[in-house]
Amino acid sequence: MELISKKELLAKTGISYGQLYRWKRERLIPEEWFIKQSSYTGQETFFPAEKMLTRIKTIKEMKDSYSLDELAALFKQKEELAVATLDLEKLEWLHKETGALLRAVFEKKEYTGFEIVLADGLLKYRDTHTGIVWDPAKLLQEGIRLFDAKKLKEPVILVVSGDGCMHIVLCEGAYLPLFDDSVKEVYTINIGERLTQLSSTLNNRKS
Amino acid sequence: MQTIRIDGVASFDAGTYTKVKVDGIGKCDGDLKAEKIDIDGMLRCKGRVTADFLECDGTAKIHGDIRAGEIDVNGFLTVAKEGTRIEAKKIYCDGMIKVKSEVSADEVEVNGYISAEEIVGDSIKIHSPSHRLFNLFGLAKSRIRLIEATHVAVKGVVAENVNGKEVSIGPGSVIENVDCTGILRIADSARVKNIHGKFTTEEYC
Repeated sequence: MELISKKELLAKTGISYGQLYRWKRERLIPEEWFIKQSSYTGQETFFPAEKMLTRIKTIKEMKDSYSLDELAALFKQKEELAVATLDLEKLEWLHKETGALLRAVFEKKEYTGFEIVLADGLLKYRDTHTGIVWDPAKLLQEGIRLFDAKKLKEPVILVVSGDGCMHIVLCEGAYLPLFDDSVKEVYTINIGERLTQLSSTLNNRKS
Repeated sequence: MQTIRIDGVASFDAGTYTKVKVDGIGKCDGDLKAEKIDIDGMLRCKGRVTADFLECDGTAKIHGDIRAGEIDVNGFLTVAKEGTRIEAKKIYCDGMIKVKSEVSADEVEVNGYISAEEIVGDSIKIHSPSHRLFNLFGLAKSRIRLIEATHVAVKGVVAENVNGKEVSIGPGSVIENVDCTGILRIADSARVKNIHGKFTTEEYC
């Protein structure tokens, strides 16, 4: 996992110390993303680079439309989303086959946020990677089974291809696994950020 | 929600109140939440404290985190347990604050003394006077491992690291490392061992 120092983060994103710590206090940035490591000055703080940069970008884009409390609630509620089947068709940014894939796996009146963003992510990966023939429905089932078995704070799904097979890996975002050389490609679906996007879209529709 | 007032010596239940006023000695065994907490006597709380406004002119010893809109300390506030912290929008202190872990606030203004592992936020001003009374408690200076904010102004402070965009190190300060990304001012009588960062120097006044 690539880390970014606090100083580099502020320089890259243009945010101030004040903003960083305010967002941490308001729980817009999880405490566990502040990773302390020893340095010549005693201790220095680092962050998971991709997740942190994405989160700050999201906050900056949304902070004029939502209060900090509302943003914190959005980030928190993301896992508790439930979307009715009919509403899926209205979410333009989802892959157009998302509803069909979910129905192929199980017929329900509502699907959870996780089920939706995983289905969408798998279909988008399939469309852009045609080298191996594989069944998104099977991986979707496996991904949901893993997610139900192990609740993680910051879930990330990795779609791993190697030796002609596709596998799905569920891991904690701050601690991504390393793979051996037989793994040819790893595609990351950042569940947390996609759920935030989904919940934001649904909230916009309600208002 | 009720208001509770302690004049003598009393224990009261953890819970949510409109106002908690302690003029005597009050003990709370769990988490305390109130719109206003006003301590003129002594409060000991074994849990977390959450308040819109926390005023301590007496003595308070809290074993859990403190989370408040505004904290005003003219007396003594101690957050006793390892790993517990203070979070607020504004913190004012003419008395003494002692925290084992982190103090995080948009605005921190201390004209008394503060000791903490870290003080972080947007604007941090610590001007600790040299005073014989506090020398008796071994508190001639405020002691912090890390001070980090957009604007930092310190006087009479001992710190390992001070990081900020606008940093002023005043007389009586002893700082191991300063990292500044904007404007740096250091008084002649301050001692700063290492300076890092890209900054413009201005005269301290």
